[in-house]
Amino acid sequence: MVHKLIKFLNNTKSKRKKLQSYTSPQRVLLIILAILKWVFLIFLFLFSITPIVWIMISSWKTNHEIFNTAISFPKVWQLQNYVNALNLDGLWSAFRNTIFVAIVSTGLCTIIAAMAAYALRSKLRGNKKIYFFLIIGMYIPVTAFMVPYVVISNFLNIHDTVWALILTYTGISLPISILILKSYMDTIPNEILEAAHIDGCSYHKIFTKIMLPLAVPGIASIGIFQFVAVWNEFLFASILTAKESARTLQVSIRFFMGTFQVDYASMFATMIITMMPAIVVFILLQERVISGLTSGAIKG
Amino acid sequence: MIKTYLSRFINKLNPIIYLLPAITMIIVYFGIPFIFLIVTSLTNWTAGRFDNVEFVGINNYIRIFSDKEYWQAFLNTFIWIGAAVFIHVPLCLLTAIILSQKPFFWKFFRTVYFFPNIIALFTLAWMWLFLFRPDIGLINEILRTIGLDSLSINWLGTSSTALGALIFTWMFSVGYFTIIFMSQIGTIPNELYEAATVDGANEFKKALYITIPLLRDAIIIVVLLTVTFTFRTFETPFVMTRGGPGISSMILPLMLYNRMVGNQGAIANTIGTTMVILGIIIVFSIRKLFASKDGT
Repeated sequence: MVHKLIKFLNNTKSKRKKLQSYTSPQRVLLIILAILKWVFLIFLFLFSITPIVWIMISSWKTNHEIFNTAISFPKVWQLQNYVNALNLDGLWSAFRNTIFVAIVSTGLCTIIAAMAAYALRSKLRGNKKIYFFLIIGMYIPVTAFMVPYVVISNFLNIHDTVWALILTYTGISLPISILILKSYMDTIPNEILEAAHIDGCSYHKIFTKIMLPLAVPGIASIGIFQFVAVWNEFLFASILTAKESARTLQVSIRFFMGTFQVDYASMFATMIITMMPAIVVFILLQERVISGLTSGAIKG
Repeated sequence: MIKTYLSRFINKLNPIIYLLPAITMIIVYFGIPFIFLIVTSLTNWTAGRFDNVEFVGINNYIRIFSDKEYWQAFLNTFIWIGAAVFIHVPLCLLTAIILSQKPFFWKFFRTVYFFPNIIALFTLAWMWLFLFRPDIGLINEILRTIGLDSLSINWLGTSSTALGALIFTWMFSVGYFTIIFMSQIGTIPNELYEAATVDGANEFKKALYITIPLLRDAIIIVVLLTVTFTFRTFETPFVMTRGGPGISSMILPLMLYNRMVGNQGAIANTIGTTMVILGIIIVFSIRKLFASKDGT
């Protein structure tokens, strides 16, 4: 702490010295720029934090207070709102469904993408064409496929079950997963695989014993990417499932809105409860999530 | 002899087996839907059973192209994507450049800027809907408090401001792309900046002549990602305005959804077909426009 303070003081001293070497109009300009920079940073900060903080504070108020004024703290912190939210029918099954869908589709997606990315390494005729075919879907606005996805899940006889969601999510994110994993696997030198081949490893053994362990960071990237995306998805969940036993969190929120009508306070409490897991996980695993979400995206 | 041939054949077969699940999934979830879109867009299918379906040619296309709502949604979608590419991405770049100079609390800022990206878009849209409420919302309350009463209007309920208010809700959530840009700025060797300092370049010139040119590839990828992400956006207008008032904030995915739940499957798929084609055209023209000599 002291160390940091000294560093800070030295820093400002050297900055001040640097400032003195400028002429006065230049100095004014530099100060204005510095002020603008901080205004910008703080504006972005407020923009990012305000919705969550406001909803969180409001979730402890009475409805009367909510309607009275937007800028105030609750007089008495209302635990009742959270009790109402936790007693909702279907909240726990929605949590269960969301976790199940997220884990299974993340697993499926990573395994299929890893197999494809591995196979694309071998000298296959039409390799490039297959790769192009596999990743072109990345650039297609999948919301256009709303109707076909409903028809397909009907045809596969999985409509209105969690499996419709699992397969759809897996299919949608395969292109970007394959792209990220392929570009990650390309950094693994071929000599390692050749050495294993000479030692008598089969194609499958090389995959499970060498390729997968080496590609763990890349796999973690797409896994996190997929998990977050599935946890937060709403549109396809709402058109592919309806019954309570298959609802995910986001779809349930829509139904809870109807349950609570004008009980805004309980509604806000529900929102906070449903998004807390994501925020807590993000704060705990921050570095991992950040590198997971970004490392692969850029290499393609 | 036969054995070696057989093992060679099996060796050739192995990669294909490994590719099979991926290819199947892509065919089922991208190939078939695309063909399905095109085929049904030429019929009078109503999103129900497939008997009684008749071939109607390009009638559906004529119908949507003469629909005022379609063109409004089309225009709004372009404004939507344009705002993302020409304002949102530069904002992210600016933030990344500022945060890369490591001002105080930069890690803290980076974390907080990421919050809107970790919350579900659907929940976020609900939160913004309440923030924008003219009676209980925070935004108008703040505007009234600081004396801007004339600005405390019903932002989402006025046709001239609705789309702008929707865009505002994601315009400044710079977290994700800022981090992508920062990770790329980190790879730029420091010597370049030192040399520039010796030559007397200021921060602004350094950003313009060193950082931005070297980030070219990252910028292209981020622009492509932005285009596909924003083209897919559905939740924000669905929750906050339902495309209204009237059709003033309608965008293509929402119009498609409305037609789908209105049992107009063929019309919905016609809109879908135009969306897919439009998306591919935009992406490939961006790639063409920025294509570097080495073909990336």
